Amino acid sequence: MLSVTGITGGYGDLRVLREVDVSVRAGRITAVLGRNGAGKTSLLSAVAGLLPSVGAGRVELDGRDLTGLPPHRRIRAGLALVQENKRVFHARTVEENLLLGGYALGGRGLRSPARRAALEQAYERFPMLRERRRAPAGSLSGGQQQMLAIAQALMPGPKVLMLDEPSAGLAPVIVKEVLAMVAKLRDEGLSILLVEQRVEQALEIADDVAVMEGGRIAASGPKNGFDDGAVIREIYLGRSDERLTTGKS
Amino acid sequence: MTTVWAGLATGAIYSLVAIGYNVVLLASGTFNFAHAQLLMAGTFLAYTGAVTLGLPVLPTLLLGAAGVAVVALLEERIAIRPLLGRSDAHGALITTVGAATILDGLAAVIWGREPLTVPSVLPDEPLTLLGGTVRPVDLALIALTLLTGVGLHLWSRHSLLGLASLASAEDREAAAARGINVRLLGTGAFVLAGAIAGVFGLLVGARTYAVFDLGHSLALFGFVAIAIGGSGSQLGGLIGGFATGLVYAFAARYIGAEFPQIVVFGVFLLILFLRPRGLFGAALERRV
Amino acid sequence: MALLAHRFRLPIALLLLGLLLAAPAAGLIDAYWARTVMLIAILSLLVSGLNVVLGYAGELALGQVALYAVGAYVAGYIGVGLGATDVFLALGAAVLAAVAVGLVTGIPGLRLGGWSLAMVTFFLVILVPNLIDVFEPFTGGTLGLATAVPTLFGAELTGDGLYLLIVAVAAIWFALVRNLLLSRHGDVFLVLRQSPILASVLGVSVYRLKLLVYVIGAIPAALAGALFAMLDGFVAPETFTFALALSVLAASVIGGSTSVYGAIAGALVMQLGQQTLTRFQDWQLVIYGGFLLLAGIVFNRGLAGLWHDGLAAARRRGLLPKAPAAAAVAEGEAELGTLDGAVLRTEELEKSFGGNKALQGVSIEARPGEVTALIGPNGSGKTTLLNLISGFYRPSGGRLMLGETEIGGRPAYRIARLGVTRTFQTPLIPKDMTTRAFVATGRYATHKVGIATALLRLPAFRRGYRADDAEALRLLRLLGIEETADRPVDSLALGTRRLVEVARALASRPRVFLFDEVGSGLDESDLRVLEHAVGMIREAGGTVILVEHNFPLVLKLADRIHVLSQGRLIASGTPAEIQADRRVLAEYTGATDPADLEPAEPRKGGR
Repeated sequence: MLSVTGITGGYGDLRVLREVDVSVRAGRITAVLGRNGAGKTSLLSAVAGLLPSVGAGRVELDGRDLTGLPPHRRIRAGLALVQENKRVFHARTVEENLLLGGYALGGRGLRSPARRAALEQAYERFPMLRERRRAPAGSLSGGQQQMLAIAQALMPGPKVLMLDEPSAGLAPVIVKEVLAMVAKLRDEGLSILLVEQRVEQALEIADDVAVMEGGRIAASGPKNGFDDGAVIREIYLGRSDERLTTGKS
Repeated sequence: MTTVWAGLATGAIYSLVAIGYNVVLLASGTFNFAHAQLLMAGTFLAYTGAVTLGLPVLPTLLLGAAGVAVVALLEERIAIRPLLGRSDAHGALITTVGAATILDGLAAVIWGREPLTVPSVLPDEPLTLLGGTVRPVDLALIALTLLTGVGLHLWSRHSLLGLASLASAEDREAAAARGINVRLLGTGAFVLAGAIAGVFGLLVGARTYAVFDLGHSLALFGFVAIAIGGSGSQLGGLIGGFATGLVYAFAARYIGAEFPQIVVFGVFLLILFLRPRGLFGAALERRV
Repeated sequence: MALLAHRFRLPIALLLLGLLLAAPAAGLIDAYWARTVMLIAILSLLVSGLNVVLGYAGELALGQVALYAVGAYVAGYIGVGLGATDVFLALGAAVLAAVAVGLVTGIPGLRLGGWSLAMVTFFLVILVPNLIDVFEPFTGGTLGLATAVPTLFGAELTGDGLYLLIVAVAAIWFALVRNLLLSRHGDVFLVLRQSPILASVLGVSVYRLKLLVYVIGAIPAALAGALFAMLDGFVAPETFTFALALSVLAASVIGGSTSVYGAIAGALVMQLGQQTLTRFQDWQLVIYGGFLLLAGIVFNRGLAGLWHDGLAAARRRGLLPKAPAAAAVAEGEAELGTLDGAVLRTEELEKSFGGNKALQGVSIEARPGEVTALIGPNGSGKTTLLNLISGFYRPSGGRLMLGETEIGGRPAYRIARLGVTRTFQTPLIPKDMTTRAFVATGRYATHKVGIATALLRLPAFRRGYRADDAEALRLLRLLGIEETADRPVDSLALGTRRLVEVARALASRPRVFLFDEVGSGLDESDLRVLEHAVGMIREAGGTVILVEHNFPLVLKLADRIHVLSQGRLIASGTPAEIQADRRVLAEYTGATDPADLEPAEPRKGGR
């Protein structure tokens, strides 16, 4: 559904992505794992067209070439991105946030039939948002903001949803809820690119896995190759265990 | 009361400048120093339309709106667009002053340095209203400015584009990730601000004359209006402009003809000193 | 800037200055050119003042012309009205008046940054005719003010004498401003312009320093005004127009705002342009505006930038000798000595952003001679805690204690001065500075060389500099990156930048170190140097707080680990305890069944 090949890029002189290949199969979840600073967020930014400088590489969505398009054209083509840190518009109300999420939908009016229908769907999926629809998004709790961000991204009915650390800063119960929601969306047929630091939980719902390190893909493939827990140690406890054995001097 | 009317009429012009600043600021995050020059260009185009070409009112308004919108578009392309994405934040500080100066200079070259009288489109007989006299054209200026300010305020909260503009003012990248074309929005804001300035050229010119350095004092008083009303708030700018106009008129009436600017300056310094936060550029806590 | 200091520059400059001073008396230039030189000198003073403000404090000040008027009228009035015609009196009074106006406009104008100073000063220019009217008894109103003939030690000063005075005043000003800008103060001004956050970590009050720079920038404008009054013998409102303000701004950007002598180049271009182009009057505004656009968009370093680029290119091609590297400082043992560490304690610290509780009831204690690590998943509140400690956020509740002092809610620069320093996840590195100079800015809070000392290059300046440089070099050696000392600091790779930041932090000899993700982006060898450095700080008695994602690094370095999750402290203990705490590992990696996770037994021999 989504295929990214040979993406290279960064911020000005700073290269953070080096020839990254990653893909998402239709109706599946690809989890991108890796330590902080490995380039995971930059990868999503690059796919969404938000990374300031992208050198080489190709982004294809459902057979359509998105390379070089500005972000809004990519969203229109069926890509959706939930950014890190629940970037909802704090000063706007929940409903306004949702309507803005549906910006890419047709119709001139704020409440065009298409947007109205999407709004209704969002409220059905997240009843909590309906209750708080007139509240400024900034007054929601962290978990509610994350749900709002996801609901916003779903408004235009995307083909591929990209999520950047949706569990960050959330209580375990909420994390479970969020990831269950992600799995449910997949089961409904959505293709998902998930960047997640909670490796165990990400692996639980993922179909495919890509491990990033130093701006490159260090390993990738179907999940069952990553099931034994070694990958977690590699990612979070360092690639070479030698560092542990040197100990304190 | 006559002083109040005079203050409101002058204040309406300052409100218009503040509104123009805000339209662009909200959508593109740029403070367009040259906006007052756009209003100046509007008065000259009104003169050209009404006097030189002898056009009726409606075509003159259209000429002003289209002409100034084009000027604003050019300004955005030349002075703002090349700076987008640069890390050095104070580039626009220099380039918008540059654009303003070029507009001043071009106006002086094209229309000369002497003030030109823009004819009043309404009868000149002053009306007596609420115990004061006011020219119909000034009354129209006040009313239409109010209408524009309130209209823009409502529009920004109840239309898709308006909300998109508020959202991109809050977080440009997040707005782009929602499918909002932030660049086009920014350009559109310049064009809209230009068109508004152009339409009002006829009414403003009837009160101020068309003169090449009109922009200077308008820029300042428009900025004072923003400082009073808070940046990015259309209603605030509207109120700030009228307040500035009233202070000006009363100082001129009761203190002396040399003093109104000095008094407004004093008020300006006082506001910056006492209430700097929440006035211009709200301080955000998340900055590391 | 210091890169460009050559040994042979001073004699050549003095020679040129001598030639310029003697030119009219020796008959080298006629009266027309003498007047041109004087006008250029005066204009370059105006431009130089703007350069200091725009190029170093990063604030746009359009009011040079108003201060120019203040200088001219004050000097004129005390000559005519009070009979004080002595040039020193006149210059002194002009400067005092300009400083007063600078304070009155700068104090409110700099509160917010952005456009407010520009607007306040622009307003000042527009008010000039008004104020001249209001103060008509002193200024002569629109008719103007004829000034008295200036005197020096009782002798009248005219013709060549006046020429000497004007050129000499300008030369002295440029020597002083050069001394100021090519000093630690100038380095800190550059930091201020590029990163107010970094400036406050250096212990600098951004507001006060900007005000200081703005007021300094007012001085040459007043001098220029006083000199102009003497030159023309007449002061009238028509001189002080907004067009002049724009020409000063245009001259500044043409010459290069962030430079010392660019002001002279810009003034030269402007003055000669005005005198030689006959059509200039009509098109002057368009031309000024065009210059501003051009400078803002394409060549924002001005003629000074082109000159430096040219010099650098010539050096690369071997056409010019390389700039001599600063003399190596006496070898010192690369040891840290002892640090006066302090206990840092948080008590039930809280922070919320809107409805989002980023930190709730966190109590930790970091002790001297220990490394205290904060770990936790992204968004768990680690960086929030760091920002609270360094003063970038105000706590919503609880207490923050440094020793026995409550520091919660104090501004960042005050906390920095109390001895709390930090590094950043993305290192804050300024442009236009050598690594050595940047590391030395870390000592600014305790820098003993005052501005006056730097201006006059007194012996204390040299001593202070030698000490700063030696310390900077020593720290760089300590971190094994001595060879970067004379390279531009922004040319370094990420890993090296981190080490440079550590050196900068160490330079202030702080009591508490905050390291924000200091290991990320470092390769193995850099990481080893870093571990060594942290170890040294600990041995030296410093208090170290480490926020780090790299779990092995934390296990290795920390004496005590605090684990944060969703803004709460979920565990505290020694590395062994934390490593054994399955709950922690589970929280950290999101394992649903902690039994899945063997607590990473060290494998022999690596992979």
